[in-house]
Amino acid sequence: MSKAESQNVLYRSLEELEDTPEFQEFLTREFPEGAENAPDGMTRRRWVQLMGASAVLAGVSGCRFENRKITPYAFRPEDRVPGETRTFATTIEWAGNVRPLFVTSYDARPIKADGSPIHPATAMIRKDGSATRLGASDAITQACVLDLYDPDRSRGCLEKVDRDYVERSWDDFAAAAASLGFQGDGAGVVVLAEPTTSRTVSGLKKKMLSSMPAAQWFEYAPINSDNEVAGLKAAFGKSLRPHYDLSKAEVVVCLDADPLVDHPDALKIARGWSKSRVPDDAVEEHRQISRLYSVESQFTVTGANADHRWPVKSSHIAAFASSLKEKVVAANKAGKPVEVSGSAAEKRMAILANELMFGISGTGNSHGRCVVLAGASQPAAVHQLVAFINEAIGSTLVEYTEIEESSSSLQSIGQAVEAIRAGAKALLIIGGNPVYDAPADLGFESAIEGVAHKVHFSMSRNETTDRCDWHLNQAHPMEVWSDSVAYDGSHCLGQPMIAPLFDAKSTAELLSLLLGGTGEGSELVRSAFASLDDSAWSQLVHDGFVSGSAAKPVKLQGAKEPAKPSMAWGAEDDRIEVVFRTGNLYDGRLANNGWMQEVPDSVTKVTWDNPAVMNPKTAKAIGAKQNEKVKIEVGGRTIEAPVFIQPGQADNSISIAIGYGRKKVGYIGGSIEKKIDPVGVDVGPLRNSAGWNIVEDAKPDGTGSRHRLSSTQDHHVIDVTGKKAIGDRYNQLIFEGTFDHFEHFAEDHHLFSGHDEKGHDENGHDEHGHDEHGHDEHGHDEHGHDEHGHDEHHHWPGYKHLHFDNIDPIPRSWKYSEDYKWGMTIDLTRCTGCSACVVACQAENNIAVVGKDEVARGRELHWMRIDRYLSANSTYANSGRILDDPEPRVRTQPVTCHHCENAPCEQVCPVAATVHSNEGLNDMVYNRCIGTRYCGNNCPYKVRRFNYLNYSDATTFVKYPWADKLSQDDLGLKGLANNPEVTIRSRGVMEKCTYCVQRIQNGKIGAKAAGRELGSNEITTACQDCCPTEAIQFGNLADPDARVAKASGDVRSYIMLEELNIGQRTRYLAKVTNPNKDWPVFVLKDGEKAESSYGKVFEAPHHAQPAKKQDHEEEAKKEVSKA
Amino acid sequence: MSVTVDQLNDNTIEDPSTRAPLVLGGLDYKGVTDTVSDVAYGAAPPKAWFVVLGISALLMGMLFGCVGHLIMTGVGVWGNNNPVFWGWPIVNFVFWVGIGHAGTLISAILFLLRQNWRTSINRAAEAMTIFAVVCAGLFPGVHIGRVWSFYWLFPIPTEHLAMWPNFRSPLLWDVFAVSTYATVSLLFWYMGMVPDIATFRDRAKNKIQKIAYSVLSLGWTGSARHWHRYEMAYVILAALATPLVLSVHTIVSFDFAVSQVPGWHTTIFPPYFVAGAIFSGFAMVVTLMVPARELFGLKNLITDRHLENMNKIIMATGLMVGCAYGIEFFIAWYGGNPYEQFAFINRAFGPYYWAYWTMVSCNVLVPQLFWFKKCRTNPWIMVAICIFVNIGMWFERFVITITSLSRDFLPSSWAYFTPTPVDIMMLVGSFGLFFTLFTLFCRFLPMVAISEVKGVMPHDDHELEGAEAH
Repeated sequence: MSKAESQNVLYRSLEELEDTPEFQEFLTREFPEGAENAPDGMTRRRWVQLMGASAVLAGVSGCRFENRKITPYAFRPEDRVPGETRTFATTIEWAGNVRPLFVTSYDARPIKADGSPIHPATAMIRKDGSATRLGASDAITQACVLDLYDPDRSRGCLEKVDRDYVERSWDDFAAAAASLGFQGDGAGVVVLAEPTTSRTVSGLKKKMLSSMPAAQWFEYAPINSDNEVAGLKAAFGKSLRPHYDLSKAEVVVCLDADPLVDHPDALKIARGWSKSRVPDDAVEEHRQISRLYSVESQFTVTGANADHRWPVKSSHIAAFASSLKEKVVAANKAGKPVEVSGSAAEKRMAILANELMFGISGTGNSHGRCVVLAGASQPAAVHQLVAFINEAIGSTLVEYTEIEESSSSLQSIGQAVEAIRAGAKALLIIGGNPVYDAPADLGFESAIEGVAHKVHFSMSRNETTDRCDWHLNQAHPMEVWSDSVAYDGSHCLGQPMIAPLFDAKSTAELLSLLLGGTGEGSELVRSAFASLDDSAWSQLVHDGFVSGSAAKPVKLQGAKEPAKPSMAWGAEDDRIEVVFRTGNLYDGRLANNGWMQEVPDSVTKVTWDNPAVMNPKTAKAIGAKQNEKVKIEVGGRTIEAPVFIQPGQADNSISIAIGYGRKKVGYIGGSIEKKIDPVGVDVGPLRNSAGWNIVEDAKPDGTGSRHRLSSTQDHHVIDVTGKKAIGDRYNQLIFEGTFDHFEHFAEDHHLFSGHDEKGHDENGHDEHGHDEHGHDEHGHDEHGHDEHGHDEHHHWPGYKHLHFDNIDPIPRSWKYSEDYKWGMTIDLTRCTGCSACVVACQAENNIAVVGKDEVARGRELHWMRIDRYLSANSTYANSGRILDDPEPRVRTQPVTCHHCENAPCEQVCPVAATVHSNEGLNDMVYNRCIGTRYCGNNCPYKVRRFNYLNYSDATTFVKYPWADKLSQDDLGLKGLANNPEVTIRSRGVMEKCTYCVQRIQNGKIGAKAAGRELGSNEITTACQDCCPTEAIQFGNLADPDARVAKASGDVRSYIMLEELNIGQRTRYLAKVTNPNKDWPVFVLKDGEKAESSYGKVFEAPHHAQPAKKQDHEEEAKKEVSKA
Repeated sequence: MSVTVDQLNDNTIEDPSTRAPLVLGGLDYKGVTDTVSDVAYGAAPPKAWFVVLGISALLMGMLFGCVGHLIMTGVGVWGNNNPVFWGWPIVNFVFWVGIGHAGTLISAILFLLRQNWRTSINRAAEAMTIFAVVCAGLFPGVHIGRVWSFYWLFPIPTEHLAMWPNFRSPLLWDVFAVSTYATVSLLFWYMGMVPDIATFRDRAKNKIQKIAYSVLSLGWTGSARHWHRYEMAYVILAALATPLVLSVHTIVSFDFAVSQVPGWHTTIFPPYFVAGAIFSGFAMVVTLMVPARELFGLKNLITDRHLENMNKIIMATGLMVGCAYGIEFFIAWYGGNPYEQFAFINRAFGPYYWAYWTMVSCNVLVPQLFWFKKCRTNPWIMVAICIFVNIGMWFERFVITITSLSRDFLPSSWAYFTPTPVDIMMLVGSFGLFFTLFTLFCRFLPMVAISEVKGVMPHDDHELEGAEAH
């Protein structure tokens, strides 16, 4: 307090100032007036009353409501109903992709992101022209909200002063920018940015480069499609982008590609592909369902869905493509199929070329409905070959649009490092994490050491931030205005869903600040769309994109034929390659996202790790064992990674996901500082500019040191007894059959009216030995009922369950609602096993992440899981050499609560915590549950999940004071991602899929409030919403118009474990495959290569009667011995 | 008459001409009273008693430490996982409930069947029952996810719970079965002890003992009226307890049999569980009695004949259990349900084959040694066999609970169960609790039913005549 102030007169009240006699008396009096003397006439009774009341009230004064600060809405904003969710259209650039979204926001905080149902990239339009409620999305989109509320996000700008970080404001940075070197002509300034499609950013970049002409700007993304662009440029001389429409496909050949998941346009491709697989449509349209061939080293989702998967080393794909091209050219020239002869590999190649050229039937014309796709990691030459083949076969499934010229990422970062070494004074890194992911040979980390001023703009502090002096806080794309160009070229807009949580800015705002402006994000973006008038602008904000702005395909002709690759197809090659693939964590930026860490890999089912995947043969050769580490050396640099043995990987090929092994990311992904071990292995040391995606000459060596992988399936190696049982059960769990068989069935049962029998001859049915008595083989009597009383008319490929004559559905004494009967169907033909639904369910239902150790214990909480079964060729399976099969098949099956009408879980719960609703929901009453876990034991599907520990960090009865790893503030931040409609479960409580009961209730309430009937397909579940192939249908079985009711009445529908007679409400639709009967199979016997026909060994599994099966085995064995 | 069996001091010889004596060493009524009450009032207890009590108390402390940790952290401290929702706690529960069968069987069923040899061992066996039920009760109590809400299992008419528990659930039947069994067994044990506690009261040397035993003896004076009512009550309680011996493990077996898990869903479970329970319970009685009679000088009361009789029962029940194992496999094959078939093949040849064959060796093969009299009467051999039986019976529950759960319908959900250190510490700790209670019982309560033993001792002719005259 200053002197001047102390001289002021202080007073507490006016009375004190006046100093009246009353005031004096008040001061001297000990007790207030009237309290000094006992009131007159106080009786004993009265005294007791008063004392009693005082005692009671004294207790009351101890009760107090918890103090909470609230900000009441004195005036409710327009259109705002508190507690009601609202959905906004926006578009974000996230994990290398432009994602048009519909974001659900609860009280102004975004809680769920789904694909936009109006943007062509994500919209799901059905055959009848109706659209889905929300668009398709993938796991990464579903998980992006979690990053928004990541407690490890940066809380503000920082400056490193003497090795310590000091908090700074944006104003501090603006003031310091000039002294950091961002001034004048920009001499010595190097900017390394993540590529963006934003017009706003590129406008500002141009502005910056014009005001600082000496500054240098480089763009780098570790995952990119540069090879594809380069390949197409070599073929057509332009920068192009391919667009695939597989909805009319007949034959699709993927060369080391995973277009169903790992592709910027994967949602659209998957949607199209699944359309081409729907057998009903195919039969009605007199065409085959598409046939998918996958030639790849590692098992991808696409490979798992392929009708034939051919494991080939990634480094051999170029030679493969070249050989395929030659065959295609030959067939093209001859105008007829080339001869299928020679070794199995030669036969296969000829088959591929013939089918690409002449379609599945091999005789007619493919009408351009065939296409070849190559993976982004393949070199440019392969993409050029693919473009050449697609032109040669006249493919109409691929179109190209022109894109802007840009230099490749690898080239660009090389130049950036050169510029830095040449004496850069100021380095601005916009986003990304080059210290972690730049090519190892560039020595990025050491290169930037000499730069005087290094500024890193990022969402959280990462490895790169640690090497910089300034950290600037980048906003989550949902927090700021932005614009972008989607894969199809349409112009998209991102509007903020929430104000930046921690004083963060967008890239555009940062650049504007450096240019001396104070531009608000909204103004900057608006000015980039200056050509739009206000109404067009507001339409853009409303829709999230400018409709009809997609790029127009260009007409191209005369793809240049590439030079022959140095390696010839089929050459012996004992070198071991390492293939780097994009896993769940993308380039590593999702490492702190628990959902992405915990969602199992589609094929290996491994979580929280990036094992070196190899096949049993390779593992044996290098002395590697499951759950042990292997040392991999490339050019003197080594890493040690855990081994995962995956039959089906190409020989001498190791694949390993990138993005793991982060040393500084946070509580989830690992942080040296916080003493949290990195998750997985950083493969960075093995990747250099020359061998970026594929290293051809790696030297792996088993180390023998243990490393336990956490997988959600097959936690342990399965023994012989178990394997046999899996083999026996497999066909009862997943029903599948070939398209040929389905077509015959449809024909025989007149499933599709208007179906013209004559049209079939050209498809060559009669060749398959189907005659008019074909039924009898399947045990039908003339009424179409089998011995178990099932009406075979309605079931394809026929029942395989255990049926007993004396068991009939239990007559139920209780009545179900006649209005609502909730049910679900999952179409295994459409499902690709991409896992988006798993994450969507997690986001919708506040499902906690349990962590690596708990997954290893088998305690993951996912309400929806995707079961994966591998099956070997029967020759191997029956000779006990399952693992020797080089080409196992993969089948995936999403499993979630079946909401059994006669639920086994309900009967055994002693406290009635799981009960049935009259609408058929198997409800879980969390606050009645005491956790006896009996329900879990009795559930045949094992879909019940138990909170063994306090995974959600919820309030609970007692816990150790150190039980919560995060502070209360951080827990609060994390909690913002939660859906307020769904209870948070604490430890000791069972949980499981509810069919998204909160959505059902909201739907019903909404309809009731509006005084209308609930729409037939109005209510959707989270898994259904996101599914890119519409494999999941949910709704009211009692409503004949509901899609779920139609699907469950489909001929392909079946109930898994129906023999348990528990009235399951979830049904599956059998899988239809389209194998090529002539596809030769490699059969290895005692190290020899032999071959036999696919059709003879595998036969269509649906009529694999035991006796017949043995015949096939005999035949296969004979063939083997002959060879 | 030549040498009597009594003179040989071996009452295991079968001599049809004479009834084998149940009390040896020429003890008279006073001698019996002295022998039993000397345990409490004689010289200081043997050093071994202190050693056993010390170790047991430490283990008990470890058990309660684990329970505390469990309540603070959650049931995730155990090895249970998603298919194996029930792990060792339930295995231990069923194991201890089984142990708790012998006492009431000996006291009630053998009483009703007029098996006089029960009198020397019934008290200790009943005590063992009570303590085993205490151990058993602990596990389901703490095994639930929200321990603090355990009382929701009881049909308490409160607004807070708003509804009754689910009477269709076998777990609820369990609650009733075990609590009824515990209550009746406790009453039976305590009531039977009243005259003997009065004896202790009369011999008490210090005030604390005097007061404690006075309170516990409920003013027993030994009047004819007291005896009359005591005998009546004893018969009634014995009759009440008898069906409970059969019901409790029957209902525990329903926990498994009522579910639809392959390997659990079996109608043979109730008799099979009861036989197994008696098997393990008797084995535990023998395991306890042999050292106890040695330590406290009770060899004249708990004679070789007693032990031999129990061993015969062990062998008989062991054969029943073995038969049940066989029938399970037969039915699995004969029933034609592939899931059931797999469950049993998996038990014997799957990843838990070691547990299965441990079970079979301990429960079926080892008790065959009791065909030899030498094995039935040699304390060292019989204790060794009984310990094997109890190991085998623990594994039986392990095999049923864990192997069935680890692989049921969907192969995708199969998993292997691995116990954690807490699992192991709690199993060991439960033995600590059991032995702590039992060692304290040996020292402070009448280990042998003094009054009942006297009732089956040979009387002199005069008395016999008098008795027959009635």
